[in-house]
Formats: sequence, C-alpha cells, structure tokens
Amino acid sequence: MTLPQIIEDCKENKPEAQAMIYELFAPKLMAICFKYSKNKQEAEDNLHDGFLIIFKKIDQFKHKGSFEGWMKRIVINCTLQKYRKKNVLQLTQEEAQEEIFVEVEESALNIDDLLYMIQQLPNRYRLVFNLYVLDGYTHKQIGNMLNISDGTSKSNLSRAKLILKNKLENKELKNQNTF
Amino acid sequence: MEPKNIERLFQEKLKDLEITPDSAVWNTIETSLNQKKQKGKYFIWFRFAGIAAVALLGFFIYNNYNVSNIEKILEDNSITNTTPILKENIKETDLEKLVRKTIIESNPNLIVNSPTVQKEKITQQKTTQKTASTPIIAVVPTKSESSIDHKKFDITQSKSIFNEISESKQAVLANKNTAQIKKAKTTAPKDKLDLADVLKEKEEEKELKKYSWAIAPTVSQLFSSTLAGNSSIDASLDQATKKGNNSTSYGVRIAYQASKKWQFQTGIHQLNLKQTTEDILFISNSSSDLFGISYSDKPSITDAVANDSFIGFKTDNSEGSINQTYGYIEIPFEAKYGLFHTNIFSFHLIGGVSTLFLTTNNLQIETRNTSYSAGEATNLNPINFTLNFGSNAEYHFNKKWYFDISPMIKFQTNTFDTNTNKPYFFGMYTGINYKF
Repeated sequence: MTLPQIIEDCKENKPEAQAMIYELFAPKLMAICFKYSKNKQEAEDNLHDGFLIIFKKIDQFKHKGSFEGWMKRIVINCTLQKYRKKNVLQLTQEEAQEEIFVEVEESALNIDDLLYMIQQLPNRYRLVFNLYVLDGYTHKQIGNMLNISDGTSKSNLSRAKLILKNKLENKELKNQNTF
Repeated sequence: MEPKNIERLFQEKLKDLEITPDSAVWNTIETSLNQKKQKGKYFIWFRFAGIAAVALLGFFIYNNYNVSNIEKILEDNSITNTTPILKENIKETDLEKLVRKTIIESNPNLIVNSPTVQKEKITQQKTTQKTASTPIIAVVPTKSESSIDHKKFDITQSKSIFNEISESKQAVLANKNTAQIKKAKTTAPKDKLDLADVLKEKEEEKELKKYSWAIAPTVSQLFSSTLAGNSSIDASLDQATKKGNNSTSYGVRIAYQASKKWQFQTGIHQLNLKQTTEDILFISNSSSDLFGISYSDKPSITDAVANDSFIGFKTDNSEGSINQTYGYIEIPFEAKYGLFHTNIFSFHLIGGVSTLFLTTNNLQIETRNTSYSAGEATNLNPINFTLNFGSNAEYHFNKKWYFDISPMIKFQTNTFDTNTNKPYFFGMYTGINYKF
C-alpha cells in the first residue's frame, strides 16, 4: 500500500489507515514535540493533539508537497498554540549577537544531553531556537508565528545560543575533570 | 578541538532525530478518534432534527396560508351581509396578512441558514471518560527497517533526562506487563481530557461573558384546545363538536444568559386563539339568549343548539359554526436550563409563566352563506395567566447569530370567569436571535 493510498483511506476515517500513519510518522513528529516542549509529558500531549488535528484536517491535504512537511507544520503550530494561549511569550528585547562559537569535544556530546539543554531553555527562547536553527524558519516568519517583532526573535535566538554555549562549556569542564 | 558554530553543532547532532513515543499515546489518540466518530453520529441525528424542524415549519406556513385563504373567501361571501363589526374582522385579517408576510419574508433566511445546508463542522474533540470506549488493540509503533540507519533515541533507556516524569509513569515504562499497560491506558486519557476540557470551558466562558443578551423576533404557530370538553360559550353547546383552530403568534423576545446553564427570557407577544364549535343549528327569534354572548345590534339569530339535539325544520342558513376568537398580548417570564451544548447546537428545557392581557374578543357565526360577528363573549377575563413548559433547540450560525425552535405547551388559568372550559395551547416558537 502506498502512502497516497493510506492518506486517502485516512480521509474516509478508516482506523487501520490512521494507525498506519501514526506508525510511520509518530517517531519523527515525537522528536519535534520533544524539542519544542519542556518535558516528555508535554511532548506527548502535543503529539496527541497534533495527531487529532492531522486526522481532522487530512481531507485538506491535496497531495501537493510533502505529507511529512505538512504534518510537521501542524504539529509545530499545535505546540506554539499552547504557548500563545498561556501568554508566556512576553520577554524583554535585548541586543542580538549573530554568531556564537563554542569549543567542545563533539564526540563526547550525546543527543540526550543536547535535547535536555534545549528543553531547559525558557519557553520563548526554546521555540525561537527550534524554529530558526532546527526547522529553518526565518525571523520574519517566526515573528508572525509568535506575534513578536523580527528583532525580538533575533535577540531571543541570541540569548538562547548564549545559554546553550554556557551549558556546553560547563559540561565540557565536567567531562575534562572526570578524565 | 576547534571552535564550532553552535547552530551547526545542534543541526548536525539532531538531524533526522526520531523518538518513539509511549504506546499509551496512540491509545489515547485512538480513544479520541472513536469518540469523534460517535459524535459524528449525533451530528447526523441533529441534521435529521434540523430537516424535520424545517419541514414542520414549512407545513405550518403552508397551513396558515390555506386557512387565511379560506377565511378570505368566507369574508367575501359575507359582504352582502355587511355589518359594522365586519370591519373589525377585516382589520384582524390585515393583521394576519402581516404575520403571514413576516413568516414568508423570514422564510428564505430560514432555509438558507438551515442546519441542513450548513457544512458539517467537526468541533474540537471532547474526550469524556463517561462513555466506555471499545476495547483497544494497542498498536505499538515499531521502527521500520529503513529507519534503522537513523540515529535513534530511545526514551525508555535514557532515564537521566526524565527526572521529572512521575514515578508511576516510570513504573509503567520499566515493567511493561499487561496489567500496567492497561492501567496506563485508563489513566492517560483522563489527564488529557481534563486539559482539553478546561481549555474548552475557559473559552466558552469567555464567549458567554462577551454576549450575555440576545434579542429575537419570534413567530409561532399555535394549536389551541381544551382540557375539558364543555363549551366556553354556553352549556347548551357542550354536546357540539369543538375544535381548536390554528393561529399564529408573533413578537419579540429578549434573553439574558445568567450563567453557563441558566438563561432567563421575557418579551412581548401578540396572539390570537380560536375555538370553533361546529355543527350548530341557529334558531331565529327565540326568547332565550345565549348565556355567554352580549349581542351586538345586527344579528337576528338569537339561539343556537347542537345540531344532533335538534329535531325540526332546518334551512341552509341555520346550520353552521361559532368561531370564538380571543386575542392577547402575552408577556412571558421564562427560565431556560441548558441540558447539553456543543459549539453549534444546544438543547434546553423551559419553564415559566405568562401574563395575558385581553385585546380581541369576538364570536363569529358562520353558516353556509354568511359570516358575521355575534358580539363579544362576556365571560372572558381581561387578565389571565398561563403556565408554560417546553424545550428549546438552538442552532448557532456564528458567535452572534443563532436560530432557535421551541415547542411549548401553555396551560391557561383564569381564562373564563364562569366556565370550566380549560383551554391550553401548543406553540412551535421559532426565532432568529442576535447576541449582544
């Protein structure tokens, strides 16, 4: 069975097709939820809500462009929606710093640690960092999505990167001490 | 160790990341989807209800139109016997024409906006635990072989990250025996439902606060009848066939949303009730007057009996019926209690009282060839009350506009001062409401 066929079956609300879509894409979408959320519980909630929206709106998907991309956008929007509702996005604007470098032993870094660092970021820093760095949105797009100015998005990104740099360097120090 | 751009570091490390969610997540999604389907069934039911309501409305309008036509013909016939009181009748029918006009004018709206035409909108999923879901066969996502190359991040193995996860959850992860999975199945959806419910309720509360008043022009078809079979006109007509006629009520209603469940409404309605006593024989020049009628000058007919009980000579003009019309201005005060509601539909129970002020009082005698007023009924009280019961269904087009239909039964009390005839009427009230 091909993906377009499965999608068409989903449009008819066939349970097997819905289960297949979940099976195929849940890990990738869970990874997105994981990056955008504070913790696993929140990530699972977002995945749940995201999939319900996907199945509800699947008849709007007309096989133009990537299905995975379409689902990703829904899931990202779904996570952003929560923060818009909670109104936790009000932070002050600071000077943006473009490029930030860090000296670390890459092989010593594991993905769990990196994800944990992202999750620990304040809400809006985390969202901006994810949107810009990991999912390739522009500051203008992010500004529209989060209802903030381009400048705020830039300064948030810069702050996020500085926090991550500190964490990485602290970790590096700890690693060196253990040797 | 070279300095590395922090963006690139994260991009490279987290590229093609996949994380397998707990199986409990799919279970809750599946439960939610099943409930959505069940909800879909309700919507189909609602659609049928909508169609039925529109059909019923159409029937009333058609019916009303026909009745008015017949009345007109009767009036035309009676022109030969013109009496001053006849003018009153013509006035009355003008009023009815106006009502008919308003119904017809508002009708296209009703049809255009009717629930049947509305595209089915699937509202936000409301996951309730009350309805037991069908047994769930868990589909645990397994990695497809093609994705083995991808970097994997297995949540279950990296406990260090999830210090914040509650102990019970960890127990489920660590020890995946069936009993505990079952537990996860039953507890997980509950958490989710609370969150969704709370959010939804908050939103609804907001909406309610915004627009707590609603105003609506209302139209209703009324069917009047009596609990007791005896005549409202005179005891001598107790035997005759009595029939409640259809009539129309119209007015304005204003409603106030006091809380999520309670609504109070009042307004002003004009209504005309009719009772026909059929198959009557009118006898001229009799010495005894009908008890309930104060005669106006013109009619020469002074007595009437039920046809069955009369033995003697009958002429064409002597057989006929008496139409009793009593019109009121109604001021209701009613409370509405919401039984359930979605974003589009809501259903309520209504109870209340109305005060009726008598405005029209006429007895119309109709024989084969003539129709004329026999005067006013003397036993009608100028003020009386009704006890109102009914239900109400609302269909919301958007935040500001909604259509509602409510079947109501109203029992009249204190209508006649000397009579045990207990009239009541059944009305199908419809209105287009504007919230503000």
